[in-house]
Amino acid sequence: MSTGQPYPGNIDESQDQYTVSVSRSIRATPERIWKVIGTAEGMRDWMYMLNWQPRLGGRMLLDVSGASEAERIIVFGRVLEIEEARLVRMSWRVLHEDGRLWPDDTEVAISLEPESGGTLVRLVHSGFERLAEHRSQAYSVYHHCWVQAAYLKRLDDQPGAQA
Amino acid sequence: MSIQVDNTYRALADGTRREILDCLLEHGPLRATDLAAHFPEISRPAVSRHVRILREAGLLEERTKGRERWQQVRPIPLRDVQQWVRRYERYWTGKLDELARLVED
Repeated sequence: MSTGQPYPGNIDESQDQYTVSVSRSIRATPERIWKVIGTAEGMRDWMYMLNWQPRLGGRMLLDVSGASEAERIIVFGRVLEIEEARLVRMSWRVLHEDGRLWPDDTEVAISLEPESGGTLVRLVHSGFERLAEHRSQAYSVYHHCWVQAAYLKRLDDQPGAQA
Repeated sequence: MSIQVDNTYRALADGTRREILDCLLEHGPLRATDLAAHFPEISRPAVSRHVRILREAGLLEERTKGRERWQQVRPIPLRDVQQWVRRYERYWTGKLDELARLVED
């Protein structure tokens, strides 16, 4: 996660303070970009995903340990919607290395829109307000019992789980 | 993967420990005796052992109130949700740059 020089794309005016929306024109066809997004190999190269099943309900596991952040995190989720060369939407939940788990899912949507000379790639990461809501409430909101179990079940089938 | 994450996986790999977590998620903070009462089929020392493992994995913490010790699921990391939003803004802009590098000739 580095800042670097001025971003050649856009950080879109967010609809709200709990949504990240960025877009960028890329000189490649949606089909070419889908070879990255729509394959496990592609997502390993781009996102460093340990597991990516590009189908509805498929699993996602990501180890952000390699990033420059001092804090190491694991991200996991599921494919919520997928349409070849057009859109993928996935849930996104973070587990910190000290064992703390985001109390709810956020959501990441990547959409591809053909434009002259290439593709407009838009990425929207939403749902942070769910985390905020949890934070401000008492423990009674934590009756997401299924979360831990479901989360575990997901990890059970991950190749990286025993690593 | 870090040692701590490994610890977390290991702690969560046990069905009883997941049930203990679920129980605390449902009921809020509990004392060891109350917790043990929810698991009549398990001995109290065994429950305590599970609780200790969960604590060492960072999934539970102990709060002392007077002479009583309460076990609770750790409060969530969200010191500042806004900070996460900003972090992801940087992360995703960087990622789109990398995507461009991957696919543009």
